Amino acid sequence: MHRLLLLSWVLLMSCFAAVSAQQITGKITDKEGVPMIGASVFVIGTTTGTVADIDGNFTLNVPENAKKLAVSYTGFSTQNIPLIAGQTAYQITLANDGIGLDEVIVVGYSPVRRKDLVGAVASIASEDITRESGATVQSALRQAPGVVVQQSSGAPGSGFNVRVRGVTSVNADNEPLFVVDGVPVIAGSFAQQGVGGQSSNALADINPADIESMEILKDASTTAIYGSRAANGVVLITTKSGKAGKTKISLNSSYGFNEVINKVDVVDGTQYNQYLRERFGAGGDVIGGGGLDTTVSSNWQDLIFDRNPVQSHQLSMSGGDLKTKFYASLGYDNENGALNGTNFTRYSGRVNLDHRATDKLGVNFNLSYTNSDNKRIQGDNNIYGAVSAALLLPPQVPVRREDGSYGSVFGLENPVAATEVYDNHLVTNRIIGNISASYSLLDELSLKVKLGVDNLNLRENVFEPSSLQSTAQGLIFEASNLRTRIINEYLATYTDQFGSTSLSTTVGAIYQRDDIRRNSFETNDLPSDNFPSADAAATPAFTSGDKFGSTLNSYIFSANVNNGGLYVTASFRADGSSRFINNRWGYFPGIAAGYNFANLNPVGPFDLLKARVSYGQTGNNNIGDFEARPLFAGGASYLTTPGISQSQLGNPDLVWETTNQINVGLDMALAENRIGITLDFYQKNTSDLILNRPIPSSSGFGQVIANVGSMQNTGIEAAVTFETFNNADFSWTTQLSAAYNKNEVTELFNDQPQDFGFATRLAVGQPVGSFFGLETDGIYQNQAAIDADNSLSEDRDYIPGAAPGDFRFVDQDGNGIINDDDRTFIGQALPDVTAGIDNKLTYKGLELDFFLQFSLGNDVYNNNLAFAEGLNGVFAPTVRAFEGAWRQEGDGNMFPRIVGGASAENNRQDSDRLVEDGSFMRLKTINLAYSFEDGLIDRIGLQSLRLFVRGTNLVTVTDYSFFDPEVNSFGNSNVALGTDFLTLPISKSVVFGVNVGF
Amino acid sequence: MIKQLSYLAALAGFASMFSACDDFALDSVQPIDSVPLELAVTDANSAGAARAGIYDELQDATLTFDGYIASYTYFSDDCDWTGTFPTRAQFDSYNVLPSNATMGAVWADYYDVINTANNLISVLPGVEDPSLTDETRNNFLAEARFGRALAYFHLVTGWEGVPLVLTPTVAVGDELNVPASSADEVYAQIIEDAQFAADNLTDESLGMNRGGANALLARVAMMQSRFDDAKGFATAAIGDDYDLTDVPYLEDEIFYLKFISTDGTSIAFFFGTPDLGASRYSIAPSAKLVAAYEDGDLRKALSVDTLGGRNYGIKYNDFTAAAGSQTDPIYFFRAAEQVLILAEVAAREGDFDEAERWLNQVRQRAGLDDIDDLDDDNYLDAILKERYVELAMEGGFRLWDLRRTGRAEEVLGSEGYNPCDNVWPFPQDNIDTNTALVQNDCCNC
Repeated sequence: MHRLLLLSWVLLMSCFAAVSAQQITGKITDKEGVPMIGASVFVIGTTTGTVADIDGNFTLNVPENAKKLAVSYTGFSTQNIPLIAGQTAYQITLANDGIGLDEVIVVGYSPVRRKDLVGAVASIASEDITRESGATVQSALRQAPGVVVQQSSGAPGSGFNVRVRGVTSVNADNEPLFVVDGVPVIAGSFAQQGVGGQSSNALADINPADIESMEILKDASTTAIYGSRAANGVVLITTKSGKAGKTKISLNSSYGFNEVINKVDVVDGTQYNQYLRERFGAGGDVIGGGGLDTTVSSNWQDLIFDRNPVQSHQLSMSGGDLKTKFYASLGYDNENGALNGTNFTRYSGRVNLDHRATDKLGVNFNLSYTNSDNKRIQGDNNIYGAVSAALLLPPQVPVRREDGSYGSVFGLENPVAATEVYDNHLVTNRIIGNISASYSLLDELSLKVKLGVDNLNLRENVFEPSSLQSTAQGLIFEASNLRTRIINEYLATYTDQFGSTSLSTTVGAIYQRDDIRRNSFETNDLPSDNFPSADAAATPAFTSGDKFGSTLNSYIFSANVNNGGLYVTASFRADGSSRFINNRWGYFPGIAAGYNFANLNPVGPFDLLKARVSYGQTGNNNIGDFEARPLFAGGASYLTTPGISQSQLGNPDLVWETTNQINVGLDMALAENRIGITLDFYQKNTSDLILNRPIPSSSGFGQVIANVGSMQNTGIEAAVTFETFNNADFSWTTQLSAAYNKNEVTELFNDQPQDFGFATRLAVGQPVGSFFGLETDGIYQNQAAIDADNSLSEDRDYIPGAAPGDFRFVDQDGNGIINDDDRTFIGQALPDVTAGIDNKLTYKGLELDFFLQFSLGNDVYNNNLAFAEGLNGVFAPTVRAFEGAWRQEGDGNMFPRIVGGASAENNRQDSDRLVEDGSFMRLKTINLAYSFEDGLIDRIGLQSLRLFVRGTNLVTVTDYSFFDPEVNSFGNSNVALGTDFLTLPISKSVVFGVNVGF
Repeated sequence: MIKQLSYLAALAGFASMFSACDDFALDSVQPIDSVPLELAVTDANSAGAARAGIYDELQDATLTFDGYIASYTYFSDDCDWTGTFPTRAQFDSYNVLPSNATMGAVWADYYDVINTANNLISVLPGVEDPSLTDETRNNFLAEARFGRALAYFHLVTGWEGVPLVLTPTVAVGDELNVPASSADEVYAQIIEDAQFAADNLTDESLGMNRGGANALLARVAMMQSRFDDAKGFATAAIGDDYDLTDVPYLEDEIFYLKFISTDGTSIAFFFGTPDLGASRYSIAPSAKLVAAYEDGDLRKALSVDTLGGRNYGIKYNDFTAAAGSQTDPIYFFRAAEQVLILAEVAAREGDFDEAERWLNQVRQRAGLDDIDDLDDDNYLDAILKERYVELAMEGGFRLWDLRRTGRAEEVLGSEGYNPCDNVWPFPQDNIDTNTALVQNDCCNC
């Protein structure tokens, strides 16, 4: 390292030449002659440049040895204009960029034109990131083919599961690496207080309104440069920067409502009373220890879901001159979830500065600060959850009793109390920033130093008053989690031209350190609910505190070679990670080649016809910081005597998971770049899966961490973009995208299956997230059918205790009895195909866009049905189950008889009865906007004025019987996917907004 | 120009401070709440901490409710399942499947205790520390071995013969494939460990004592019908001239596992009814148990209460504390059990006067009339009934009694108990991973 530094010093000390100047003028228009106001003109290789005026004219002093001008304007292909000696006036016409092939995007550590890409990269532009209400970094990614985004809960501020080209890991993280302005940022769920399965979302601290573009790197030739963290793809986020010219001030405000996407029909008071009598006999309706009141019929879902307001206000200012550009913003977002009491409030600010100190020296500074307050409500598999109780609590419970206390029975929380008095705030203060300087030592060689910081400070304050069922005398929980990441990066880039061959290479060294410090405590028994303070509590319940962290040392190399239509890139990264012991260093190569057959002239109808192939290796080191170490842990105290015990077997030979990916792609552009087609085929083979390999628990450990197992993802992605119309008055662009991914677990330790969640089994030959259970075969309609089955085995009845009205299960092993051996694979949580249809239309000032999202072939394990349609407990059943319950022969095969006791457990077993098709089509977003004409707004002194109305999740078409199939009760679990158990569904919303430019 | 270069130099210098110093080295981050194995037990102090770790494993949340109490009491006429967990319901309905996750967790947690004990037993003889006297060292060993004996006792009474693991787990190879030993072999190990504890425990222990070790030996002897041995151990546990009548109910402690609010249990949470506040009511005394209390039995008011028409157990009654912070003890060994063992052994030896003397100590304390007509035909009924109510909801006593006297089928058959229910199945995950383990003769195997 020291040597590299020394070298940079020496290089920095060299000098550069001064130049003299001449003046030129020009006019920039589009092909219809409309002046391009604000188009920028640069002398290539210098910072000399200017901006076209209101008539498209510019004047520029160019250095004597200048060779070319670069002329650019957003949405138009950048043109390089050769400077001809003696010519001082230029007429420049810019061509529309159509489907955006001339866009420059940043891939890895170097920029590249989309046309020159040989890897598989999807991009999402600024306007598409914020097109849905309550947008987050992750929600926008679902528009990219090959990216599956699932929101596990509808709680505002809660987490997402993002899967780029399938699932690669069981135990390490499956999320892509998120990189903001070149700095990998902290992502994940860090709340220490569980409120059911819902996770928190550290990426919610990034204001989507500040994002200029996102690039999703999918194939290994583009991700290998990110090494041991790139197996799940990389999402590069570029925040907005200023443009030279007039300072732009814009205000975007919106206001609207969230509403629950759907409700479930649960019995009313009268029906519940009938149900109890059927279930428990004539006197059955008096159970519940006086908690039931036959005179009331509470509709709990109506009481906890409302049309709740959401608002967003974003103010930004950007501009600058040719030397200094800036972007600054302030944001305020306040989103109330459809579930009363849930809220996410975020204040955010950003300053991005770019300054060219000299022709050689540039400095860049990006800093964002976010304060967010996420009010969370208990949910999921949790008797104190609002949605849980709203589904299960009998309607014959009053919201409040006569003495004013909340009504309750069977220990379930009163759903209204859960939304009104449970008080849980997750407060985050976050600073993400980086500062860098780059210096052009030679025309060909530039050096860059960068320091990045991500500081996440998270606090949780929970107060549970005694009016809740979860605590007798009040409870206080507080936690803090401070995470600091520092990244230090040194890069040298060499760019040169040899005849028709251009070469660009980068070498660099990157050092990263993460420190995490956590603590939490809980204390009970408050004098009254008027003292929501830890000071006031009598009985401490627990305290905890720990510290961990990691370091990562990396060295990178990349090269891009371009000759005519041939593009070759190669990259290499060496990563040293503190998480491993005997195998610390990993080496990750990537290579890609592509050839554009239409490089010089169109080939047939194709303006672009580029075949690509790439291969590379990436890793996944995203496990706990100390998981490889054999450890004895403290904290094993008895009464007041401190104790230690063996906590972890560890594995000194543990190594990162390795993914080898091959990608074959084809890019086509037709009809003057108005039709673009991208096709990709890939196969990802992940080996050395880090698994908790099961060992006999008679060892004192159920599992040991080890590299066992492998997994494969094979898929096809297609994206087609049509610019159907594009003229002055009317334009219409359609983008169709579809992705198919087949995931298969190819090896586990001794190929032994492992169980997760309720009924999820990880097994060789099956995709991750497969459901495993009994297969039903209708309902026994009469005793004769049961007797016939019981005669199959001499040892035991087919299903012990079965009676007419009970489910019959299929005897998979044919031994005449139903037991655990008859379980089989009954569904899969991962979709086969995800797809999107995106349409954007403009007519004069009017704009309409809508995005349809498809998820096909995914199942949901709806564990709600075991309770709400199990027809055996005291919980309120659904209307359809109560009315459709089996009561006599011929009553159908859908719902069992109403019966209790242990034999009724048969009817609630893990079976395909609880698996439902979760395929859906959703009108994810629709926006209708009107921009006022220039003439009109000029008179009121504005630059622009646009009004819009935006709908999110307005229409969903699905066969799923509960709230919504986009759900996971297990939050961010890697394997237990697609399970619905009392989970808060996503919201639908309508907001109205205005964009004003000053 | 020089100025700009110096800016860049300043930034590079600033940045290089971060990489040049050791902060970014791969060894610069170490845990503070854990240590590597070889540094764990090195002196008297750390050996003392490692022995506290054994008590901590005994305090495991799954063991304190499902292990010591619920699994056995559901699986008998002691308690009923009133909760929502299907895996617990399987115990109540005498239908425990190999895949039962609660059963698997209980099994694993007993072996956590055993492995923690095995670690100390293995490493302690090699620890060199002048301050570690033989007496202290043997006391630590005795605590470890008593903890291990307790775990194996609960295993053998649930599953009969189980894998006998006596060395710490350090590697994950073939040595983990341990076949099930016979029940007699497991009992032999329990006796050896408990006898070591009975001979070596001192005041330096964190609560385990010689009385408790002898009480375990007496209990084991009863399970094995070694009645004469049982008498000797029970006498050693409580002394020759013990008088129970002076000691309030449940205060006749020999050895209890204790808790504090920061490291508590959820037992009362599971026993209490929701009307008490935040209780779950997953378990309730059976109607048969409630009916078994004679009129005037003072123990009933200390064991069972009624609220909202429902009976609930109150032996664990820290209802106001939150789940996980409750401080009710586990009543591992009470003198009353030993007194009733002495009564039973005397009766079996035909000395009914002696049997009545012991039995009536229990009855007098409970405010009940003396029994003076014990004979060959009625003594077992009388003593088992007394044990039923005296030790109700405290552990596996009822199931153990019915099994050791061969009455399990007769008494529990109507509830679903079959001969094959004398054992629970080995957890399926152990069958899958332990190539030497063959499933036992359980009902669902």
